[in-house]
Amino acid sequence: MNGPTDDAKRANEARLIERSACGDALAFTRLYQLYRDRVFGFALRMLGDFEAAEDVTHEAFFVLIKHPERYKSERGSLLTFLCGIARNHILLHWRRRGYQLEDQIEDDWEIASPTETQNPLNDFLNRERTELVAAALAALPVLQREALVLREFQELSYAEIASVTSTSIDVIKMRLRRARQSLSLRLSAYLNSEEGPHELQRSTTKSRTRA
Amino acid sequence: MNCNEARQNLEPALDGALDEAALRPVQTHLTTCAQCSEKLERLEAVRAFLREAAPMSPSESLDARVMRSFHKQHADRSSWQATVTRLRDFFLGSLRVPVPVLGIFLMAVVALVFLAYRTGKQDAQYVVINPLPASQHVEADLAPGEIKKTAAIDQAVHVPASPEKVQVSTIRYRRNRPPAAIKKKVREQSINSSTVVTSSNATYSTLAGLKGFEPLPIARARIIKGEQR
Repeated sequence: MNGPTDDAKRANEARLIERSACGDALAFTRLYQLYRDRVFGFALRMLGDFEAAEDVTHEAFFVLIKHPERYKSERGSLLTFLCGIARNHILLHWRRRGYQLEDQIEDDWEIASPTETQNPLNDFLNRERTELVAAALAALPVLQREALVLREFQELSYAEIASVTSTSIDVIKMRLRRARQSLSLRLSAYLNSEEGPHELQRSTTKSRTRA
Repeated sequence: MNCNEARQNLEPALDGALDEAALRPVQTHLTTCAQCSEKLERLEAVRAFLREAAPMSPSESLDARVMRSFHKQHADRSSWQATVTRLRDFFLGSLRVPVPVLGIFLMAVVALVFLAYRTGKQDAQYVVINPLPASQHVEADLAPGEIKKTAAIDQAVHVPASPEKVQVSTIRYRRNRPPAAIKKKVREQSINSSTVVTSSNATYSTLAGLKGFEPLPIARARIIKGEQR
């Protein structure tokens, strides 16, 4: 359900899109600045290739430039729309490389245990966290990675991810669960050395204290 | 709520996909179950690990490329649509009217104004004449702007303020519709024979009633400026 803030945001987006469709460069620049990094981040985390991710980002915004009428605010946010286009180009990119996406859809439930890889901790020690994340994501099956990236980095809701990927919310939940379990195992050495946040627990404790 | 049910809801809870009613039993369970709490901590740690990665930005060349595409797309287009949209935003605020609809509306307004202008012009420039049989040609001398009822045919004639030429432009026939050639000839004859003009006053007459044709009671005479005889 959309709150009033979401509605206002979408109305503002729709106005900017209309103005940019009429050639208003300032309006388009505003939209581009709002979503450039998020679309690019999605593409880069999916492809792991800087240039290809830039191409995908360009294609996503090019559709907005050329066919702004394709965006319907009632169907979802502009970010969802752009990610949907980016996704199509990402899949195209995979297929051009001969990658059969269908092969690993929901059956890829095998999680490689940390011992199966070449000591990920040692591999990761000399890298930055960003590279660690990229490597961990790259090890996930594409559809799980996609769901996880859209949720954790683009912060899309389950419904929005389902819309972008043309699938159901239940499937998204399943992909997210598998992706997180897989990541948890792969990064266990690293995660065990850190103390994670406990937001939900804290809110629980807080509510218990209040009670 | 048991552990299985709680674990089914841990991730939706973490993702903010549970409403208050569904979230409460999960929170209650977490306060009593160390294993599920640990599971949640793990999920949160994975999230924190991912989100602490540096944000990713493309190169400046992408910005230039995208903006080039934008300007290329709009290079041939004038900015009138942008102006219309800005004006609409200014005047209508959040009321959404698609630009094409607004364009059609504005065009309709312009067309109506034009028609109203033309109608007014026609009122000023057309003289209504009752065509008569050839034996009853009407002649009258009228001062500019004068309205005169002629006794012979009992009609009002309005001559505009500065008539320069009166011309019968239309004569229609009730029956025995003439072939195109004859019709044209009739029109030409009518125009020639009914056109009598001076700069200060006008004499008008109509010629009708050619053999075999009966004219309608109304023909229109049009004032054409710039031609004097």
